Amino acid sequence: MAGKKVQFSNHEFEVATIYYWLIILIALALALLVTAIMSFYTIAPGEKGVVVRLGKVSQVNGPGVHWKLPWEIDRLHRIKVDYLYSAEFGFREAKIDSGAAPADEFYPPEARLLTGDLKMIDLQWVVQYRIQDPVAYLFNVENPENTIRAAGLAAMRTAIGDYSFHEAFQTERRTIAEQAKQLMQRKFDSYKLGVAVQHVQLKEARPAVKVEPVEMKAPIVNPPVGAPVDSTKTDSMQKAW
Amino acid sequence: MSYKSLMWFLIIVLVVIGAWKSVTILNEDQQMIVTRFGQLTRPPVTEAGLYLTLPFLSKSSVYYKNLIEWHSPVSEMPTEDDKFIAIESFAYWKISDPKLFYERVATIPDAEKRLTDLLDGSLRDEIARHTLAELVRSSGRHMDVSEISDILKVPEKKSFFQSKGHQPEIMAAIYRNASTALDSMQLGIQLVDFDLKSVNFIRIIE
Repeated sequence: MAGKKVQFSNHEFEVATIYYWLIILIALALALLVTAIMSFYTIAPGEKGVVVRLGKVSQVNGPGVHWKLPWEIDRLHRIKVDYLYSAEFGFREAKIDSGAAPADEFYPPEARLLTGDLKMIDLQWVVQYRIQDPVAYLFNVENPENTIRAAGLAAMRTAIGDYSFHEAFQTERRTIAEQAKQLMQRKFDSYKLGVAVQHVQLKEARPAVKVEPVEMKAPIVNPPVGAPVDSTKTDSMQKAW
Repeated sequence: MSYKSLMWFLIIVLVVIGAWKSVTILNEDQQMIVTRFGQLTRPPVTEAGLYLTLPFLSKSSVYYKNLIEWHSPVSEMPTEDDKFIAIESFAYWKISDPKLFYERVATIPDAEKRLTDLLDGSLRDEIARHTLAELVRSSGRHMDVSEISDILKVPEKKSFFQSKGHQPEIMAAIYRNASTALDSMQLGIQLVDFDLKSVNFIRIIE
């Protein structure tokens, strides 16, 4: 049988013509198979898959196995619609190895707020939200996460501005959180962000720490000694006073 | 032979580039206008999808149509009762008319610069007309002021606690002023929201 010469890394093989075609066929079949496998995708429970065909949203699928066109003709965005996201404000999560301070550290640029009686309070709070409308979330606002942060700060600033320091610190924490939640939601609705605020929770609060030049030797995050500040829990603070 | 094959090669390259350039894929958050020698060839395209234009002759300019964030640096300004405060603000805006935007603004950084001038000015105008308490508070709600907060010793008159807040009105006024100015300038920009991220004393207490 007449053969064809095939060069493969410095070796020359003589392959029978029939095998030559067979190899090409198998390669083609494999390529097709890979493409076919790549066209299927699975959406996990709690997720939604938004398929964009040539720029346009063509389908939104729930959990299960679905099919899309390969080679970037159809693009898939997975959005966790049931997941409860949380955004943290006014603090940065404490590192485990930071030793002495297990409490989350205040982050003054966000934490520092003015109460209704013009006193400064440092506040930590958490916003929990869900992505309700994946298409809106993907396309209506430039950077949804930034938007959530900006709106979260604005809402809490507005909410706490109507309550005195005493109320923000002790008696009206729940009301303030509820009000901030509503203000945030109103903003998200007007932006058509597709996000539903589930819960706003106030965490640790303290009177804003005044850092004096003398204390600059010590780490700035620690409140001045003897000042009626800090302590990690609100109730221990009440006792101190 | 080589001359002919070179010709063919060039033609094929031109055709491929032409085909490539004539296709515009518009995403869901985009819109575009198509111009040929400076003239609009069709109304602004706001629907997502695949579009074909004449290669080399037509120019398609793609803009975003979603909300774009604008944010200010921290700026310091006095209130009506002579308190100096540091304010950080943000706004959301969008390109509402891509044709006007193309003709008069053209780029996002340019639009942001105009917004900065306008919003910073409007903000200062309104803040200077109101007291700090009016800015911080939203209503005339009676607050419970306990003695605990006296530890901080902020010198304030008690009567001040009954002063009514005007925050919603102040924000609405800034929004209105900036929006009217934007509309009269006809930049194809629409202001969607303006709010303050933070309001603080410049030096911490006293």
